[in-house]
Amino acid sequence: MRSTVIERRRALALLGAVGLAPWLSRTAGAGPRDIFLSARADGQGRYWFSGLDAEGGRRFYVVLPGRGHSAATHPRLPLAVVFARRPGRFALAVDWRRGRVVARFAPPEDRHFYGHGVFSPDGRLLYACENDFEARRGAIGIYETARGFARVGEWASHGIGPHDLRLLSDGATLAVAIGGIATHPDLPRLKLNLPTMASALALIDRRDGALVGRHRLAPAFHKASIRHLALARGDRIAVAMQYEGPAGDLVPLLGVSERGRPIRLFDAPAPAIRALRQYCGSVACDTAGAVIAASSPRGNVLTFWEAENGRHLFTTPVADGCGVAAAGGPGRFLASSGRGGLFLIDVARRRVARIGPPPRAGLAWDNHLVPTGG
Amino acid sequence: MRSDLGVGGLARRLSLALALALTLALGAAAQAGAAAPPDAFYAAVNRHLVERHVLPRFDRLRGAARELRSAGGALCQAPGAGRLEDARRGFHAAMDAWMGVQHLRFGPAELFSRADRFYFWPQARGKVGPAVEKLLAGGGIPAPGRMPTASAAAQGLPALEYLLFERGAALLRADAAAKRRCALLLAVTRNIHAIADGLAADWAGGRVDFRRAMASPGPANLYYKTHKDAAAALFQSLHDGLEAVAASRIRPVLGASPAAARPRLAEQRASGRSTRNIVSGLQALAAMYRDKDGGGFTRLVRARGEVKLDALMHRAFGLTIATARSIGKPLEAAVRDETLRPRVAKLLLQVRALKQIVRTRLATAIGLAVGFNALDGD
Repeated sequence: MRSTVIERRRALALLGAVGLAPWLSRTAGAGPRDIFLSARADGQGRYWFSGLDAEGGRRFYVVLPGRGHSAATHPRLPLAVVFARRPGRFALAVDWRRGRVVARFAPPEDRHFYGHGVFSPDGRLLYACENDFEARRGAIGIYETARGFARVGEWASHGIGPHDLRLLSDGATLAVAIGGIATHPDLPRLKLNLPTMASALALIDRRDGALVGRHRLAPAFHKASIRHLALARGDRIAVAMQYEGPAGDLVPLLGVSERGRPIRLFDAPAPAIRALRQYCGSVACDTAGAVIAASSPRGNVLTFWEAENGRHLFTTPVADGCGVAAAGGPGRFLASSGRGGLFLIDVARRRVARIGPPPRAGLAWDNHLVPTGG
Repeated sequence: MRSDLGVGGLARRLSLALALALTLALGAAAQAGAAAPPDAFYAAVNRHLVERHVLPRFDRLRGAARELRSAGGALCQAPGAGRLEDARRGFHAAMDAWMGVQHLRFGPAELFSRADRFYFWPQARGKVGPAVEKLLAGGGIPAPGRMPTASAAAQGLPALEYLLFERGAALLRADAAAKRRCALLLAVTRNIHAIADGLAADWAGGRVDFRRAMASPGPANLYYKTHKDAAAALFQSLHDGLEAVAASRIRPVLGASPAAARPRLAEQRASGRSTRNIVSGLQALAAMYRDKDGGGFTRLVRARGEVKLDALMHRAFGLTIATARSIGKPLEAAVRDETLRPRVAKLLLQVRALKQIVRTRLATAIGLAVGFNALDGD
């Protein structure tokens, strides 16, 4: 992959050779809080990675070589890595305080990104979900921050189609959403194995790649693909699914796995489930770890649930709403739409407020909103 | 297609279509604030498409599958070159009928993985032969009723193509292996007939009665709350059908250059159907837009006063189908042929331009937005 010398030098200067300390000291305390990151399209065939403040104001934007998907935020530095949407192969490390690209990298030729990644607790390593498409297996690529994100290894993902991943509070266990769907870049959007697909939530030790747990759904739900994850209080892992079976089936698309326990599907009223139209695009937990938000761009709704018991709280319409992130206190979320809108939601008061300047024609926020604070 | 059209003329026409698609898409976005069409607006079009497009086509598929099953039975009763030819003809008829409905992936087609079990392509590309041989070599031919649980690659029309065309001669030998092949062929044709029968039955009556589901949306309807929802499913079929022609049937085979062409990836090489499938697939999609009775999405477009768009759609389908017909040879041969390769390249551009117009201008004109995040599967 292209990586200009200047960018590599800048990355090394920032992250490696001179050590992290000087940069960190300039950053400490003064850093802006609660920036939200998202990929977007501009309606003219160009793709961008943007930073927003909690009022929806634009903080920065950098151009992307193709459509982006989600981002991983560094635990200590104002640094985020945005990934290409599958089957893309680019990743950009961005200093989100200055809005500058500090490194560009890519997986090996026979891999592509799925669009999600996560840093180790010290920020030294980055883990990214990847497709080893010729072998039809999933991989977790490992990249070293201080070496300009050189790829230093990979673990098996223990299942086809690892899409999203999160690091549990022990700092060692990666929770990986195994979508179960085989794809190949030769047929970019085609699902190759629906009749036999098997989704799972895999728990992988990031230190040695060992599979320490795997939870599957009941056979009746084998076409429910676990795609996205959020962490609630007490390492409760919220899973959000996309159902590949018949449109009329009633399948709860949300569930929770408490560490080491099987996935408990939410026992939701049928209308709340049907409103999702078999498709969850994004899932997030509020700052208190108590409320789960799940979006459905197909159903044009945002739904909110109690993490503890899976109780449905409320559903609000947002056309092509997909990105969602915890914002400004308990029960509060920021959400974004493929039609350019930004929304602030207060779950306790059931209030939804449109924020930010009116979107330009063609502006489309991509699937995920990522808070730098969490 | 007129042969005196120079390359320059074609390029101009093509770029015109693309430019139109893009600039008008922007224009359409700007006027998106126009009042949404009333729901009744969609009901008549849905009714027409279900009654005149969907149901007759699934009936035709059921009939073709029934004939195919008897041709298979006749072949296995008294194997011979003549009956093998009859069975192959039956296969072609069933494939033509399938190309007439393969874009209709919602409703009965998604129940019991029917579409995948009927025609698992391109997913099963390169895997059909091994899956069939494995069944032949392994524990035995699945008993009637067990076929649906076999590998999707081994139970539909691709498996039958393998048996009849790639290994047709092996059916005619007078040995035990030929008998086993025939037994599997019978199981496969029975399965194909059962799937086609289920598709037609679930569309028109029975427990599922999808015709009624599309005609009577409402709060209790599991599939559609409004007529617009039902129209969106039909519209999606039109869009995804074009996408499948471009992304699965043409692009992988064409490659960026003659050297990068990959004839191996062409559809149904054994039966020589790659270009024929593209033509019949495009004809089915064109009929969704405007059929011989003047029904289809065209009615919505005209009711909205979008006369220019209607003319553009009609012309674009006409040009694209003419290009597909002008290829005249299977795709795997055409992409390596100096004269024909440019036509394949042109066809890919035209199908993509058409898809772009559908996705932007047509979607906006008839109030059926195609979502940015909604179609991803991400």
